[in-house]
Amino acid sequence: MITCGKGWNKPVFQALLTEMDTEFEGVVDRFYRPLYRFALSLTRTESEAFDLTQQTFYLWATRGHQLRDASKLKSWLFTTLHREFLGSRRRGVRFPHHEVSAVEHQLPVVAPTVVNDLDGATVMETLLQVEELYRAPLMLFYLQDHSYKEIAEMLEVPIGTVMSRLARGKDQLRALLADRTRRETDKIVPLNQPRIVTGNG
Amino acid sequence: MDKHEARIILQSYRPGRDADDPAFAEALAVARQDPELGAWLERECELDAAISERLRQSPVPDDLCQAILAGHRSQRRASHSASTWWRSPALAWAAAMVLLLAAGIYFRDGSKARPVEQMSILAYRMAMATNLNTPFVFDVRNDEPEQLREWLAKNGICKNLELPEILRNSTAIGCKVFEYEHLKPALICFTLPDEKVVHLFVVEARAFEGSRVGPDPSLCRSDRWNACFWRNEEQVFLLLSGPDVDGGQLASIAGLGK
Repeated sequence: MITCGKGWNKPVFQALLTEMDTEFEGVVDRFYRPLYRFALSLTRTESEAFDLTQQTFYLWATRGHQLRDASKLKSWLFTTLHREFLGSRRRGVRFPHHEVSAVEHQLPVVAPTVVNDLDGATVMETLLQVEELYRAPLMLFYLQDHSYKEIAEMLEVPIGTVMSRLARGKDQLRALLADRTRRETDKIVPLNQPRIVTGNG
Repeated sequence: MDKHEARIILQSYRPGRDADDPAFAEALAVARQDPELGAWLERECELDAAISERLRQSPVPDDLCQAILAGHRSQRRASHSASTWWRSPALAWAAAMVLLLAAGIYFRDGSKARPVEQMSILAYRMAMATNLNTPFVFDVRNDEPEQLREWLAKNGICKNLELPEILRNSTAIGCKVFEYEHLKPALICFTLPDEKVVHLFVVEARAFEGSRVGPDPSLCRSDRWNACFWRNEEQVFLLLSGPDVDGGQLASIAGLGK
């Protein structure tokens, strides 16, 4: 039994601290990467994402004991990170909610092989150009760690809104990927093509 | 459900993750009956899987994990020492010995600061937020920011302090110097032109060399305070506000000063 004051038991207390450290390290090791990627999708800057991820684990260390259901830990961390982000950038305007039926559209065609030729950093960089409103559901969709119910709870919007934002976000992301691919292709000039000289050159 | 509606719903479908989600069951049944829709879904899932894989491989800073753990240890040391050490006379005695020893080493080696790479900006922010949460008395009160700046300089603190322009043109309330890990962070409180109050902590930047404090303002929260921090060559600035001043306003105060 752990006691303080007169019944101070240093070895047991140290053992408890070690156990807590191990548990904390386990939680960090398991979640810091997806949390950072989610944070980056929100903040768009590495330093702010770094800080936001640290802040989330700080809150877990100080308030995590309030969480009674351990199975909710992952959702708690992502929800907390999202709330901290919103809290630091509270705005007067509320984002409109679009229901899924209102966003029918044709997605640009991008072949999976195009994406396979890119690295993770490039795809992330492209995702960061998607409008802020759509980036969070898009990132949570692609991280594949959460069900739609969980995503809706984290973002504190209805499931229909998550899906409509996701559809619009995917639309933007594909347009950006298609645009990037087109620009990359334009850079390649066939060797046998005559060189066009302009101006005084 | 018709094909058109099924297609809209299936845009959000992830084969592994959502296979058992009843929200997709009906749309999936439609796709099974319709070869064109089925082929579209297959291409859609293939592309999503490729993007997902790439995003889950996107780089994460090498030092993030260590920074989180270091911040945790630093915070736990601080809270543990504040809440429990005095409950044990033996531990209090040991702590006193350690303090004496540390003081001896400290004074023998001159005024060397703690190894700077161990400084955690997170722990610093939390400590400064705690300072604000605790009642304190200003060392000096003056409504002229320039007067407070001069007072700090005269006392050897925050020399060459350059306040952000908005704060230079605001009304100061007062100034207080705190102690933190052999450093002397200075707090200056301001009333902005719109009557809102903000609190600026300034501390020498060399304590945070190697940490991720950059010249661009970073927004965060520190113990319920809205916060923004940045640095110049000489100082690290931490601007805190209550909920009435949002992050955007804090960032504009910081940004306009550079």
